[in-house]
Amino acid sequence: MHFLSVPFFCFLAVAGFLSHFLPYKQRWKLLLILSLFYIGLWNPGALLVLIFSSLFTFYTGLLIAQNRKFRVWVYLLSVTIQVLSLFLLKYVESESTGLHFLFHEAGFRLDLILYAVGFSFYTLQHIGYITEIYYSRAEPEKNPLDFLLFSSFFAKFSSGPLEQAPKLIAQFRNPSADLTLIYEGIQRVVLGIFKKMVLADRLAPSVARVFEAGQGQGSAVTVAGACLFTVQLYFDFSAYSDIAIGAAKIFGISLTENFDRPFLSTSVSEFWRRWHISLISWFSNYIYYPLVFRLRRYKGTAVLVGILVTFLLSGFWHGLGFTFFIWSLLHICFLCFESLTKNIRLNASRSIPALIYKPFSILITFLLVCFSNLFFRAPDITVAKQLFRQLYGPLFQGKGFMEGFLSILAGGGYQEVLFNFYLTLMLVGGFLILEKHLLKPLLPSRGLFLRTFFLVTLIFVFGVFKHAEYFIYQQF
Amino acid sequence: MTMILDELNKVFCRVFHTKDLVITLHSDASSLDGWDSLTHVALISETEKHFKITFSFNEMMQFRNVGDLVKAIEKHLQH
Repeated sequence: MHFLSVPFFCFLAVAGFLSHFLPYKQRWKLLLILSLFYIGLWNPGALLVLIFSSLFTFYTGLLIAQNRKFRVWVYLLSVTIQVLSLFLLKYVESESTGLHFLFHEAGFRLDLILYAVGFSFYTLQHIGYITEIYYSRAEPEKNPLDFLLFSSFFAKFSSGPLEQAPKLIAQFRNPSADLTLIYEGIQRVVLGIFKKMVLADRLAPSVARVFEAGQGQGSAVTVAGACLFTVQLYFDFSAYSDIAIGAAKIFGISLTENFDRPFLSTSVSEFWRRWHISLISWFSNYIYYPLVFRLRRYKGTAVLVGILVTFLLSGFWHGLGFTFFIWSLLHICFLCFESLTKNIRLNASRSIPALIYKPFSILITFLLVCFSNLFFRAPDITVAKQLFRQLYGPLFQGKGFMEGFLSILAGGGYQEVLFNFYLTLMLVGGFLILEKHLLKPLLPSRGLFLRTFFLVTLIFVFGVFKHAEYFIYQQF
Repeated sequence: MTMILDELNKVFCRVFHTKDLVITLHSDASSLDGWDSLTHVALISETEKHFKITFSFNEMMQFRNVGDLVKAIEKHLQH
């Protein structure tokens, strides 16, 4: 049952309706049953893997807290098992490794056992949970059902946001009684559907034409393709997060915000504080800061080593392909460069008027991120190399602006097709300008119904209803 | 506490390469230009050297502003 499907919205409506008949403190039981039902319906194998992994983590947490003598070994063994299973999952799923076919030919469908929706997301949360207990920053949970709900909560299960167990379990036990959260939740879900169906999915065909067309495209269209993909990825993933956060709010639960208008970042390091915030917080808390703290006597070197290890692991988490490796290397270079030139940039920002310095920094940051996303989106390294070569080739490949640029992005040169493409750009541009206001929840007395009606109308008029259930980040 | 804050001000001036910096207990990453993760590590390392103390990782993760840092230094100096 995917987020953008009629059964999911029926499920959400019925669950929301039922939960309001229950006392606040009993709602977690309903949420647990509904979450397990939701995952089981999607993939029964995934449900079994989730239950096993959650119980394993729960009892490991208790063991670490109770056993002073062997806690370090229990902790290390548990983290090793979780990391190995994550590695195996990525390795088996990755067709480039060859292992995929090896297992299939041997008649052993390891991918069926390991293929588990949301596995890479809840495994990180499980590692975070036992690490907090190991470093005595959190107490282990007492009730395995609480922990199972933390892992399986349907709103965040398949692609996050990544949460910390104590904060979320406290909310399950005492959900907010504020009824305005229901209005906020519904608005957020509608906003997510709008972002996905009207913005991300309208951009998708233009992006696909650039990335899947093969050789012979100009540099202009390659740059445009990388930029449009970056915007598509943002709308696609933030749409998912909006629906997750909105669905949770309907039950009085507040999840972590995952995006904070990342295209306004004036540096790549700021970009990473605004993009996929919950994942970056995880990597900062459990990889970057512990490493840098241990090496702190080496100051600058400690930070560079921290960036290197953190982004290599982040690249691996996204996938084992060579394209993800290059993507992570590029971000390592950007961040190291920013670290080394920090004082120069700080002085420049003081001496150049903000009206010039800020837009220039935003543009450079955006282009750097788009460049790295060329490798993130490319299906394999051969295509990535081809796209990279195109960047320093002729602007329109000798075909002129219409044939070598516009008709590739728009999908043809007919007036109707071009109009459709311009309309998509206008919708995207308009949304980015108004985003700050659209994210502010309204109350029924202050135009909630009007805005929701307007967005729903736009969804029905301009939305793409084909393949809308597929979210880019669900592949990770 | 005031004495620690004055001493800490010297450390901040050294790390931020400026003589004019005046910190308060409420100063934090949002109020001081250039206080990022690189500066944070340098601050922790320089503070440890200056006061001849060693912070734990958990302490470092809880520093939200200068006030938190001063409290941690005070605790270490008392022991």
